[in-house]
Amino acid sequence: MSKNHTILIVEDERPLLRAIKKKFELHGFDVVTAISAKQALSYLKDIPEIEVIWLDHYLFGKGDGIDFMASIRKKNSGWQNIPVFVVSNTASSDKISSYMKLGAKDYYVKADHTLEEIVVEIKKFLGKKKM
Amino acid sequence: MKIRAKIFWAYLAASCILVVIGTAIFYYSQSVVLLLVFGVCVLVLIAWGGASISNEAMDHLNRSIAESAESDWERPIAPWPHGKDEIGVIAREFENMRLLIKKCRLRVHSEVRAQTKEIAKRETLFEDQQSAILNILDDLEAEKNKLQEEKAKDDAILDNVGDGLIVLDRDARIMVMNVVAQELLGWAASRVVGKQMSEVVKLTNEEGNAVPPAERSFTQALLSGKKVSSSAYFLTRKNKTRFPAAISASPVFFGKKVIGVVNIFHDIAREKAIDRAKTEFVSLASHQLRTPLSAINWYAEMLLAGDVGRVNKEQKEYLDEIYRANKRMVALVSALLNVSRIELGTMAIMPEPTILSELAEDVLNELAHQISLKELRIVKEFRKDVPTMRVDPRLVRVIFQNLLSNAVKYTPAKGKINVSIARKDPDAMIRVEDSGYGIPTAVHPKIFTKLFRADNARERDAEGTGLGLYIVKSIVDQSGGNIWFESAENKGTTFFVTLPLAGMTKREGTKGPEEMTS
Repeated sequence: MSKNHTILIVEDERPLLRAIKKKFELHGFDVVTAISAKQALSYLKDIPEIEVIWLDHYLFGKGDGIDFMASIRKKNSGWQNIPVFVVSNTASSDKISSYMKLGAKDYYVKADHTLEEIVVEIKKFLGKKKM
Repeated sequence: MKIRAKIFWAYLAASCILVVIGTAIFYYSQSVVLLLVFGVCVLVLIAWGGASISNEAMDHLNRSIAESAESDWERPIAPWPHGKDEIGVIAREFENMRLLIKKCRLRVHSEVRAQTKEIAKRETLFEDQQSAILNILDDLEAEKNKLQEEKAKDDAILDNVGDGLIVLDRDARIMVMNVVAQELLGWAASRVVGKQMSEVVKLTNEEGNAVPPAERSFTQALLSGKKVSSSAYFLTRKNKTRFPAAISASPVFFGKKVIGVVNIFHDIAREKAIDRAKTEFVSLASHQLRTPLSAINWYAEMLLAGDVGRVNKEQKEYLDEIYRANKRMVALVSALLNVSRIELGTMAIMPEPTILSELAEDVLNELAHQISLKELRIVKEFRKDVPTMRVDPRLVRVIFQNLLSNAVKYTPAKGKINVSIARKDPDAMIRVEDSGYGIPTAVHPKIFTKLFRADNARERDAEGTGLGLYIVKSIVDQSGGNIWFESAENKGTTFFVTLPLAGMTKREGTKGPEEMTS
């Protein structure tokens, strides 16, 4: 049996988080969830299996998605190359360009996509990566 | 007979007599002494006699000269009555001299008169000139007062202008600095007038690096003779602190020559803060409004997909209604966010090389499902002479999305839609023609109004937002283009949009448009 993908979902809205988690589990993912940048960083340290990140912009507590990405993209952080998909409702051009500069794989506006679409895209990406 | 001859004869006669007398004395007295005494007496007598004769003549002459002098040389000098002897000659010479003196005096008099007249003339001229000079001085004084008045007026205007103002000469030296400029920069005008602008007022970019003088707006205005504006830089105060400034530099012309430049500037720290607040507001609003909508979307989606168990047919229908209504709400929020960005002036314009026909194809592909459902015939005419344009593809996409989705929505089944893109210098022209229900003439003036929807449109599509054409018009207006339409009820509608081939002007630091998903 092939090993499940492990995804870290960083999302501060609990109702959304619950639906996202469920959807990924239905698609065979192992899901780790965090509501703040701090929590996400500590899970990254503790769970080396995490191979992809779903990231929201506004987060709980100190620091937003950009801050989180900037810290994991720092030299020697250990996660410079981990793929990040930004999924947020604040689709401003300056934010999108900030995320893209930090190496985000893609940027989705939540309200414009079904969960199914986004999960399938991420799965497709991980499948290609494996090949 | 001359006086000398007379005296000679008199002396000869007297000498003969005296020789006789002397001989007689000597003969009778035999005294040499007596003879000598006699001789001396005779000599004295002779001297006295000669002198008395010439004295009379001289007296006459003297008197005559004195009388003539007394009469201011009018009376002639009387001739010596005893003939043509020496005194007579002197008298005549004196008379000649008197006449000469008289003549000279007459000439002197006449010259003095002439010169006096000349002097008087010159005096008059001088007085005239003096009064002319005084008049000029008066005029100058009046002009000076007028100038001072004008200057006071100008100073009052300059000092009451709300913006900082610095006037430079052609060498970019400071000539005038108004009160606001002095307050904003912390410099006293008296300290900086005559100095180079670039040395006194430093300009830096966002990162704090100095902007070289050649790139500053005043230099560009001086060189190009055109007004140059910027709001991307910071001005440095005397105390080295800095503030963001909107600066405009206008050249000053004398004839066709640029002789200086007027710099006007103000502190835009507050405006920038307001802009940031506006942008942040829209960003937060979009987040806050969309988060619950996303939750509804995804939960409905998962229920419909049976992710949490099967739903029966009726439940599915109900969930479908929730899902569609929610989609409509999402579309409305996106449209409202676009409207607020347009109205707040925070809509970003990020031009990049764009092929209009590719965008039109993309949007038609998005609409393929509805098009095939209604069996609409799409005729595309994308002319090859339309160049790649530097426009914001997201904004142009919004234009196509609205015009094409309207055409699809409001054209009955089996209808026809023509889409053309052509070059109409200096613009590119987009034309979307449908054979649809048309727009009633009565509502033509309202068609670009925010939230307006025509009754025949509401009948056919209950879900429109009434914001699409308002947004399209705002985008077209901000791009320097034009939009208009031709339509009659039940005879179809044609929308025309022109966009300058020159492209759009970049606007940074703000938001791009939301996707129009309706």
